[in-house]
Amino acid sequence: MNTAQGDFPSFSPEDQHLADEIANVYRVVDPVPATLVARLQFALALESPDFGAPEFEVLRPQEEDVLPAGVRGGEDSRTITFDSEILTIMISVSARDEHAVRVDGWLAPPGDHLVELRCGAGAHVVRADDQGRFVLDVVPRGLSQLVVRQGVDDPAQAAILAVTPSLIL
Amino acid sequence: MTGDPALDPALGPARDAGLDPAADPAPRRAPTPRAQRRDRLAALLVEARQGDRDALDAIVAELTPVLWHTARNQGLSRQAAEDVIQTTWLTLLRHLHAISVPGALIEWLVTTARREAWRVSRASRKDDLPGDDTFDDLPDPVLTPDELLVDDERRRALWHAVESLPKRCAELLRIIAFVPRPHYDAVAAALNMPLGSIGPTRGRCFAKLRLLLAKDPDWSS
Repeated sequence: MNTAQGDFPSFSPEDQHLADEIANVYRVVDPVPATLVARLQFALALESPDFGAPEFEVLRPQEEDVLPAGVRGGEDSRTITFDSEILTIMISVSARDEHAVRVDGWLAPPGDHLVELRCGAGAHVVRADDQGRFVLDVVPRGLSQLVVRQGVDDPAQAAILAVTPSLIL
Repeated sequence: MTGDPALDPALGPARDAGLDPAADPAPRRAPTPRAQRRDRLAALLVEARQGDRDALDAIVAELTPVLWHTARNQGLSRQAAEDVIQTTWLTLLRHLHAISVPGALIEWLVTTARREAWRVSRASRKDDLPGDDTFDDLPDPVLTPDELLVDDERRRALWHAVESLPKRCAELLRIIAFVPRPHYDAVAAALNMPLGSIGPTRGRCFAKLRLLLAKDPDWSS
């Protein structure tokens, strides 16, 4: 595979034109969200600088919790659950004011892991208690991502256990 | 709506970018003539694997539309499609070291996005949600395709024709339309079509599409 030589005799110029027109149609009827690429790039930029082959789970948002709240919109309070094979994070996001929110979270199974919330302005790190609870009292609104690390004393030594996709708080 | 630089590149002098993909970074970011697109993606992939963020960003910009239409083909809401695409790219970071050519990259991305989309749509069907209007409330476009294409009867005819094709054909053509030309074969693998059959399959799908279009006066007028 992947040895295509760029020359497609079976793909006529007419078919190529038709393919281009199909693309144009779908750009109108079902456009890629305008900011999606920028948000993806943001999320990827938050990954470890040397994205060699980190061994962590990418958590998945649980749709049944994410969707009803109007999610990424400006609800006053909402709950989002992320899960993977090894870890579940539930966060409750409540509005403080128009610039900031408060995030209450729970890790399951519980563990006193380090929870890092990364956002455009930097990172907030808190340690979950032995019940797996954590609180980020004042978090600027905007794009954020949660990273959970092992709760060892030297943060540089702490392996990343999980990261969430980026979300808008 | 008319010209997309990615598909209708400005003409430029022919450059053999494949010989030394790392030599001249600037022009690689610009739209390139069709024949060079394979080399461009290959060069970006080399740089991204070495940890070059800009290269990775360029790859994300180039290939996200393919993934969008892959996910939406599976019937996901726009929000669910976004989540699937983000999961796909984040997961790619863990596999990038093992992917060395663009064809394999596209195959991996489309395969992963389809699998993830399937997983998500199955989970959302399985869960009997309180308030099952949830999914309908998502910000899908308010306007119908007919309304969005109201001023363009040829494109409206084309949309109707594609949508009335057999599902497999519609899916194939919609994805192919967004795949950089030299990498169609990668899509064949991702869509579980035997290599070598995508040509005939694609040919048959285009033939069916032409047949439908020929019957539509809005298209031929």
